Amino acid sequence: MVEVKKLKKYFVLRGKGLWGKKYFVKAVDDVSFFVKEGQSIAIVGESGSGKSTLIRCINGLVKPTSGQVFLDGESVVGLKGNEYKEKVAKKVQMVFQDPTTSLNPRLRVFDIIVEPVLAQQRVPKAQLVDLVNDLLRKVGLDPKLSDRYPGELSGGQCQRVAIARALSVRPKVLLLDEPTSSLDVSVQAQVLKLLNELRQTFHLTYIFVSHDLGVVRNVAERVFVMYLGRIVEIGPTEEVIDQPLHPYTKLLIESIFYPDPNVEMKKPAIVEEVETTMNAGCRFKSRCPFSTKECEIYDMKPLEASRDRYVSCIKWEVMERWSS
Amino acid sequence: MNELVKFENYSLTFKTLYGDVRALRNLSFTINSGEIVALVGETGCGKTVTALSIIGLLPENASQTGKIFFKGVEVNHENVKRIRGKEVAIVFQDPTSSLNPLYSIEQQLVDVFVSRWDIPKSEAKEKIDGLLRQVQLFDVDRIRRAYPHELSGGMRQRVMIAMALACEPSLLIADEPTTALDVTVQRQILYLIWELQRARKFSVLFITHDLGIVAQLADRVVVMYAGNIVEMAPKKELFSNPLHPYTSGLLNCALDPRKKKLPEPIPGSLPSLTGLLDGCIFRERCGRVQNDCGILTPELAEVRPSHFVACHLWREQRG
Amino acid sequence: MKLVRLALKNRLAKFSLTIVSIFALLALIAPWIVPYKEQALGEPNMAERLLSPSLRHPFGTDHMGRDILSRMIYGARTSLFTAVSVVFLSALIGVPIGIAAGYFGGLVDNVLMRFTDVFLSFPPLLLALLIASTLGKGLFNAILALVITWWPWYARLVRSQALSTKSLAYVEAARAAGVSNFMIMFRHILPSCIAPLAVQCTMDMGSAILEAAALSFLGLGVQPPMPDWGLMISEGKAYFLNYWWVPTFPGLFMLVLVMSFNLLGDVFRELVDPRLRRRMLI
Repeated sequence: MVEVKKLKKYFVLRGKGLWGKKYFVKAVDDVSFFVKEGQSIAIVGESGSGKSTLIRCINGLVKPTSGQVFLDGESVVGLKGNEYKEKVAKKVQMVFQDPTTSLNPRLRVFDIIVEPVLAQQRVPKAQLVDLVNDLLRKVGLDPKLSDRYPGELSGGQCQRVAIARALSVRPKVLLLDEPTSSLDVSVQAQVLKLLNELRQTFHLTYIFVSHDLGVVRNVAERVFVMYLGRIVEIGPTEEVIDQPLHPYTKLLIESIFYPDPNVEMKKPAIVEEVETTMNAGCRFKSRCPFSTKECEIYDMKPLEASRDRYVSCIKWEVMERWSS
Repeated sequence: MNELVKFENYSLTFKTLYGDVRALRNLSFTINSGEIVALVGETGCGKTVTALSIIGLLPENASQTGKIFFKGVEVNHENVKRIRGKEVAIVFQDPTSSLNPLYSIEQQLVDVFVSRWDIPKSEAKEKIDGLLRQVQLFDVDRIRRAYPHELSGGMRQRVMIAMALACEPSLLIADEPTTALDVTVQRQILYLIWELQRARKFSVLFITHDLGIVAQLADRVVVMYAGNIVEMAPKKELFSNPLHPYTSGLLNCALDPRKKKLPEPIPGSLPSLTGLLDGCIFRERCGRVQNDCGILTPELAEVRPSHFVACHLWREQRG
Repeated sequence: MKLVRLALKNRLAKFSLTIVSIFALLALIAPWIVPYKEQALGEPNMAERLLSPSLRHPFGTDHMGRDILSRMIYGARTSLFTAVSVVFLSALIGVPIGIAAGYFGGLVDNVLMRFTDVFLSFPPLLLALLIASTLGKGLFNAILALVITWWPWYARLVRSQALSTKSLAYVEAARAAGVSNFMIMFRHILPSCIAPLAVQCTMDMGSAILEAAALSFLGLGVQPPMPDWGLMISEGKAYFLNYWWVPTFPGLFMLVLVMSFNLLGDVFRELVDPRLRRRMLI
C-alpha cells in the first residue's frame, strides 16, 4: 500500500556569520519501508528524530531530497495539481497533533469537513449535508455541531472534527501525527478508542507518529523506531516493547513511567545529551554505552534479527548474550 | 509531620467578560514538610492556579476567599514577597520563556543568589560551580558563559532547577516541568528532582496530568476536577483503591505500555466553570450517579485513614 | 464586525466611533444641510469678507466672503473621500502582493518584496511634486502619489501575517487535501489578515487625512476654489493674526477627526492582540 524507498530529506542551513558555511540537517536519511494495506504502524522517536518530516514526505507536504514514495504501486513524489489530488489527496489524509491549529478558527465545522471533498470535485449542497451528518455521527459527534466554529468546541471534539475531515474523501491511508498528545488523558482515551473503531469500519491503513509507547501499544501492530533521521529498529509492537534490541530503543523503554505505584524510582542510565552528530557511522554511537571502533564505520544498514524484526546495530547479538 | 502549606476553604474566582469563572472551590489540603505532593488533573482543573495562589502570582481579575497558611502564618499581600523566590521556588513547564534570553546563565544565577541571600557578587560566583554540578551539569565553564538559547531544553530545565535550589526553598513547585521535553530527558530531570528532594528534604508540589509520573514520584496525591479536590490519598492507597469515580476513570485511561489494554474513556467533557452549580461537579460524566448528586455538593471527608474523598457513594463510611 | 461589536463595549471606542460617524454623516448629507451651498463650492461673496463668527456665520467668513462652516462640512467630504480612497486602493494593491509573497516564499517573496522596497524608498512629498509637475495638480493625482508610497506598508503587514498563518496546521491540512494555492490564499490566508488590516486601515485614515491636507496646503492637492481643510488652512494662514477664525476652525475639525481615527485604531489594535484584549474588557 505505502512504500518508501531510500527516502532522504536534508534541510540546508547556514552557519554563523554573513558567509557562514552551509551545512545539512539530515531530517530523514535513507529510510526504506513498506506498509501493507490495513496495517497499523507507528513511528516512534523523540523530537528531532525526523518522524514528522517522514510522514509529511509520504503525502507530499514536504518534498524529499531524494528517494521514492509509492502509493498503490505508483510513484507520487513531486506530483502537483490534478495528479496530486487524484493519486495522493484522495488516498492519503492526515490528522494533526493540535486540533486548535489544524482547524481554521474562522470556518464552521461544516466547511472544514467538506474542504477536501470540494478540492476534488463540485458536489451539490444536499449531498454535502448528508455526508457531513454521516461523518459527524461516525466520529461520535452530534450533527447539530456542523454550524459551530472550532472555538466553541472542546479539544476532543475538535480532534474528532479533524478526523471527520480526513475521512471525508474516503482515503485508504490515514497519517496521524501525534493525534492525542495535546489532549487530556480522559479525552485521549476516547479518541484512541474511536480511531480503533474507525479502522475496522473503513478498512484503513494507519501510519502513526508518536512518542508515547503506551499509545503505540494500543493502536499499532508494528513499530518503527527512529533516531536522528534513521530507522533503528522495526518489529511487531509487543516484541519491540517487551524485548527491545537496539540500545536506543532500550533507553526509550527505560524512560517510561508506568502508571504503577509499585515500580521504584530508579537511576536512569547517564546519557549525556550531545550535539546532533551527523557524521559517518552509527548515529547513536556517542550516547551508546556499547559503542566501539566498528560503530564508527557502520552504515546503519538494517540487520535481520529474527523473523520480521530488523535492527540497525552491529552489537545487538553481543548485547543480547551479555544481558541474558 | 508539620504542615508547611495549608489551604483552608480556599476559593478563587476570575471576573471575565463572559461571567465569573469559579476556578477553585473550597480547597482544603495541606503540604507537609519533606513530602512530594502530586496535584493531578486535566487541563482547566485549576492545578496551576492553586500553585500560583501560594506565591500570590494571580492575575488582577482574581478574587479569593478562604485562607492559605505558610508555616502557620496566613499569606497576605505583604508577606507573600518574603515567600516568593525565597521560601518557595517554582519551576515552570517551559524553561525557554522562564529564562531571560539576554543574560548569560552565570549572570542569572548570580542575580538569584544576590537577591535571595544578599551576598556580594564575587561570593555568589563561587557558589555557581557547585550548584551546576548538583543538577548534573558538569561542563561548568561552558554553561556559565552560555546564553539560554545555546542550551538544550533539558539543560535549560536543569538551570531552572539550579536557580530554584539556589534559594534553598522549603517548597519547590514544579508545574509540569517535563511536558516540553523528550522522554529520555524527562526521566533524567524527574530523577534529579526526586534525588534532590530525598537529600535535602524540602517539600515538592508537583503538578502534572501524567499518572505514570505520579506513580513513581509522589508520596501523596491530590486529584482535582473542575476546580474541586475530589480525592486525596497516599500514592499506593490511591492507585490500589481509588474511591472517586473520576479517579478510577482516570486510572482506567492511563496507558501502560507493558500490556495491550484499550483504555476505558470517561464519557463527556469538562463542565463550564462559569456560574454556580449545586451538587457534584462530576455528576454529568459519572457512571454511578444517585439522586443526591444533583442537589448536594459532596464534601471532602476522610473515609479511610488519610484517604479523603468528595463523593456521596462513600458517605456512610465517614468516621 | 466582531471587532466593532467588541469595541462598542469600550467607552473610548464608543466616543471616537460616534465622532467618526458624525463626520461621515455630515460628509454624506452635506449638499442638503449646508446653509451656503454655492459659497461652499467656491462662489465668492466679496461683500461679506472676513466677518467674525456670528449667528449667521457661526465660524465666520474667509477672505472671499464665503461661509467657513459650509466649506468645512464640504471639506469633510474631500478629506474622507481622499482618506478612504488612499487606504482602500493601497490595500487593494498591497494585500495580494503581500499574501503571494508570504505564502509562496522563496524566490517569489524575494522578487515581490524587493519591488516593494523600491516603492518604500520614494519620499511622498517629492513624488507628489513630480506627479503634479508631469500629470498636473489635483485631487486625483494627490491620491495617486499617496497610494504609490502607501501600499508597500500594507504589503509588508499582510506578508508577515501570511507567513505566520502559512505555518499553521490548518493550511498544511488544506494542502494535504489537494486544495489549490489560490483557494488556500483566499479561504485561509486572507481572512487571517483581515483583523490586523482593519486596525492598520483605521490608524492610517488619520495619517492619510493629514498627508492629503499637507499636499493641499502646499498647493499640490485639491485646487481652489474647491473646499478642503488643508487648502483652507493654507489660504487662511495669511490672515491668521488679524482674523484668527479663518484657519483655526478647519484645523480644529481636522484635529478632532484625525484623533478619533487614531483612538479607534488604538482600541482595535488592543482588541486584536489577545494579550492586550483582557485589559480592555475587564
